[in-house]
Amino acid sequence: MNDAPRSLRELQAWMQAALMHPLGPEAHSSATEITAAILPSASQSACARLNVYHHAYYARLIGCLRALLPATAELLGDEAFAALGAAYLERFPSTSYTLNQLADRLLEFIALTHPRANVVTDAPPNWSDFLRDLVRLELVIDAVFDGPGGEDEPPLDMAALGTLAASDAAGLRLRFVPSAQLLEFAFPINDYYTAYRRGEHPPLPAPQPTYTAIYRQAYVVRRYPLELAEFRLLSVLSTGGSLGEALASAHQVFTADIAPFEAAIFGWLRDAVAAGLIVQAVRLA
Amino acid sequence: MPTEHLGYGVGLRSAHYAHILQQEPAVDWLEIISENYLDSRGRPRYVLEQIAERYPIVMHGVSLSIGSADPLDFDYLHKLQALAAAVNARWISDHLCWTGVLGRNTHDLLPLPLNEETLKYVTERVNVVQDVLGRPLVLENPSSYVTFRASTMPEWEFLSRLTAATNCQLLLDVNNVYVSSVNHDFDAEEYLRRLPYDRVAQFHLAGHTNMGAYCLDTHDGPVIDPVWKLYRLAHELTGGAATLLEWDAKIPAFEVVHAEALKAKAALAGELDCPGVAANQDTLGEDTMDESDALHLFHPRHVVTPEVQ
Repeated sequence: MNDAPRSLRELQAWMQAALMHPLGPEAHSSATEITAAILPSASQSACARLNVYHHAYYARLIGCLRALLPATAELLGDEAFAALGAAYLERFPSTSYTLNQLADRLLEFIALTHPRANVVTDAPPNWSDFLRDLVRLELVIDAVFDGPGGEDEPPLDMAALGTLAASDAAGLRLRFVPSAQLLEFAFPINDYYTAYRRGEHPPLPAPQPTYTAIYRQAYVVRRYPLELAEFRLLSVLSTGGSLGEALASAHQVFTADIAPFEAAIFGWLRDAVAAGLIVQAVRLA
Repeated sequence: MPTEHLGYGVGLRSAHYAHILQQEPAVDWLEIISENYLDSRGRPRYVLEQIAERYPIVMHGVSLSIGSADPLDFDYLHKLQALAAAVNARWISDHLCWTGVLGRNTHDLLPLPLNEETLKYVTERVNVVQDVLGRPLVLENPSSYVTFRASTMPEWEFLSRLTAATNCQLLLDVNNVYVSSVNHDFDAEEYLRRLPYDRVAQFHLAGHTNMGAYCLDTHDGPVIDPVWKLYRLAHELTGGAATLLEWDAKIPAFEVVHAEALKAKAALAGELDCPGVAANQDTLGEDTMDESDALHLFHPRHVVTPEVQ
C-alpha cells in the first residue's frame, strides 16, 4: 500500500493485516504508509497508536486461549504458551463471533507444525504427543461444558435394565447422555489433569494408553476413567451397537477367563448407569 | 424514549454466578455479554434463564461489527433476536466499531473513519439490523486509540447524525469518552454537550489504566473521579438513564463490583468528592509501565471457564 487506503474495505483490510502481523504494524507497513492513514496524537506517533491494537490483539486472544486451556498453559509456561498462541493465531485467526471456538483448530495446528521443534526445543521426543493429548482433553472439557447436556433426562432404572437384559441381553441397545465423549489417549492424561487441578506440578509421564469418558451432569463436567475392555464396550454401545456387539468387542481385549468377564461387564454397566452416562435402554425391534 | 430507567446494574460475569443465584443480591439489573449465551446449551444458559426470572436483563454484544466492510451475519442476528425473546432482554446493544473484515474476527472494537461514506454505510446497516431485531439498536461509543486522516467529523457528530437517520439509541460509555478524549486530545465535556443526549438509553462506567502515553480501557478497577464528574454532567444533560458498571479483569467479589456501581447514586447526589475534570485528569507521560506489564492489561472478551470435576 503506497497511498492512504481510500475505501472503507481497503482501510479495514490494511489495518487488520497491520495489527495482526506477528512482528507488529511496522513490519507490515512503512512509517510513511501508517502515517498516511493514521494521525498522530499529542503524545503518540501514528505507528505507536496502531501498535496499541497490535498488542491488544495478541494479549487478549492469548489470554483467552489461556482461559480455555489452563493446564496446557501451565505445562508450557507463559513464554512458550504465548509463542504457541501467537503462531496459532497467525495460522488460524478467529473467524467466529464467539471466542469459545478460538482454540478449535489448535489440534490441527499442532499436527501441522510440531511445536516441540518450534516452541519448546529442549522437550523430550514424545512431548508433542503429550501436548496433543492434553489439548484434546481440555478442548473436549470446554465443548462438553457448554454443549448439549441432557440434564433433563431421567436416570435409567437399573431394575428396568435388568428386566430387559434378562429377556434378550444381546439385543439391548443403550443410549448415552448427549454430552458423553469417549476418549483414548497415548498418555495417562486424566491423572495428569487431576494433579494439575490439585495444584501439583507433575513431571511429564511416560506413554501409556488410557481411556476416559467425559460427560456432563448437573452442568458440571465429569471425568470417568475407563479400562480398555470397558472403553471398547461403551464405545460400541455409544455408537448405536447392540450389547451383543459390544460384548464381543470388549471380550477381544479382556484377558481374564469368562466368569470375571461377565462380572466385570455387569459392574461396568451398573457403574455407567449410576454415574449418569447411560440414560436409556431399548430392545431391538 | 422507549427504554426504561432500570437503575444501577452490573455486568453479569461467570465468577459471580453462584453468588447471584444463592444470595439474590439487590442489584437493579444485569447486563450480559450476548456472545457468551447465544450458543450455550450448558451452565451459562441455564444460569442466565434463572437469573432472568429474577432480574431485568440487557444484552450487550461485542461481535455485531456494524461498521465492517463484510456482510452482516444474519445467522448471528437471528440468534440475538431469539436470545432476547427468551430472556426478555430490555434492549440489545453493541458498539460503533468493526471487529474484523475478510471473514476474520480480531475480537477487538476497532474504530471507524468518521466520514460521509462511513455514515451512509453504517446507517444502512443499522436500519437492516433494527429490521431483523424488530427493535431499536443501542450503540455504544467505543474507547479508541487511533484516529484516521480519512475522518471528517468528530464522533459526537457522527453519532448525532446516525441516531437522527436511524432512530437508534445510544449507550453512552462515560469512561470511553474520557479515555478517547485523553488519547485524541479532545474536550470530553464538549463531547457530552454536543451528543444527542435525548437518544441516550444507558450509561456505562468502568475503570481504565494510564499507560503513560495513552489511556487504556481495561475495566479492571474503580471508576476515577474525572469520570464520575463526567457522569454527573451526562446525567444532567440526559435527565438520567440506566447505569451499568463494567468490571472485566481482576474481577473482585460481587459486593465490591455492586458497591462501585452504587457509587453512581452518590456521585449524582454530590456525595462523592469529584474534583474538576481538568484538576484530576490523567497526566500522560508520567507513567512508566513497561510493555510486558501492559500485555496483561487488555481485558479479555469473556470466555466462560468450565466447571469440571
